[in-house]
Amino acid sequence: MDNILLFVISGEKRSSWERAIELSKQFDAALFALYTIDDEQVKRIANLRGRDEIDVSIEMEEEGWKYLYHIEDMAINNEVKSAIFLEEGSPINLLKKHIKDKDIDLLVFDYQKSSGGKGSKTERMIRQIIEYVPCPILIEKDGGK
Amino acid sequence: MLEKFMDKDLIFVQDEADGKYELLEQMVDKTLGKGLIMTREPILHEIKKREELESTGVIEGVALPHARTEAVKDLILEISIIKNGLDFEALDGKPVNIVFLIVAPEDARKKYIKVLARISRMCRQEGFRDKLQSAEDAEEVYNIIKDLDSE
Repeated sequence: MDNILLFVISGEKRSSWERAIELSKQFDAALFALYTIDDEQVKRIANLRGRDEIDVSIEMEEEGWKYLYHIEDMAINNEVKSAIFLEEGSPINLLKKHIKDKDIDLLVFDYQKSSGGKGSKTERMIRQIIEYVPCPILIEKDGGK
Repeated sequence: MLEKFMDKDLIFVQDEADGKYELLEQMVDKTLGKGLIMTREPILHEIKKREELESTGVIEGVALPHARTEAVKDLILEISIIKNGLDFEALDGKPVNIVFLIVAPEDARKKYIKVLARISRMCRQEGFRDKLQSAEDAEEVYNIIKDLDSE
């Protein structure tokens, strides 16, 4: 295994981060961490809260960098080779692009029940990931519990 | 927001660079020359330590090397445009034309994230990278960033 992609989902616990770093270290693989700003989600949140889309997007971006920055620190402390990416667009399309471009061997992300019930946006996204992502997937369920 | 961290003396436009570490040394030396740091070694050490293990690939063609160190009092932002590209040893193997070097003290995490978020947002805007790459000098780079930042 050469390349691992950690998909950083907003609000997630850190068990997938730890797992991805642990596996990268074990296999001497490069770790790529990706945070996406879902443009549809930005629109929805802006509508719901009566806020400007740009403000919502900036908030999400800063949150994303906070996570990525933390993952980067964790990777460096564990001497894992890593690269962090933040992109705007459809999460599924961005995941597919990164998996193809970087020849990813394993995708890792968190799943939490609190992310939403059946039919929620997060559930739909996870189903889409499982269905369309062309590589093995490791899902850390409920923060590893 | 970025304007207060930018200094025209810390913006470089060049056709080529000898290598990734040579460029980073050149950039750090400029801050030394400006009196923003007392010694370059702790900063270079931090940057190199990080660069050996990671690359911040916000967007194609852009590198964001950075370091947190008590050797600086406030956040320092330096910009280099390398017109013919430079192998920055990125994990995706692609050359880099624009380098934003950020050095910040340990306790400036929030400020760092805001600057990083602002830079990455700019870099994703259509035409921004092309404009920077075709800039002739530091003044032009400064104005391109300043204009977009104030929008």
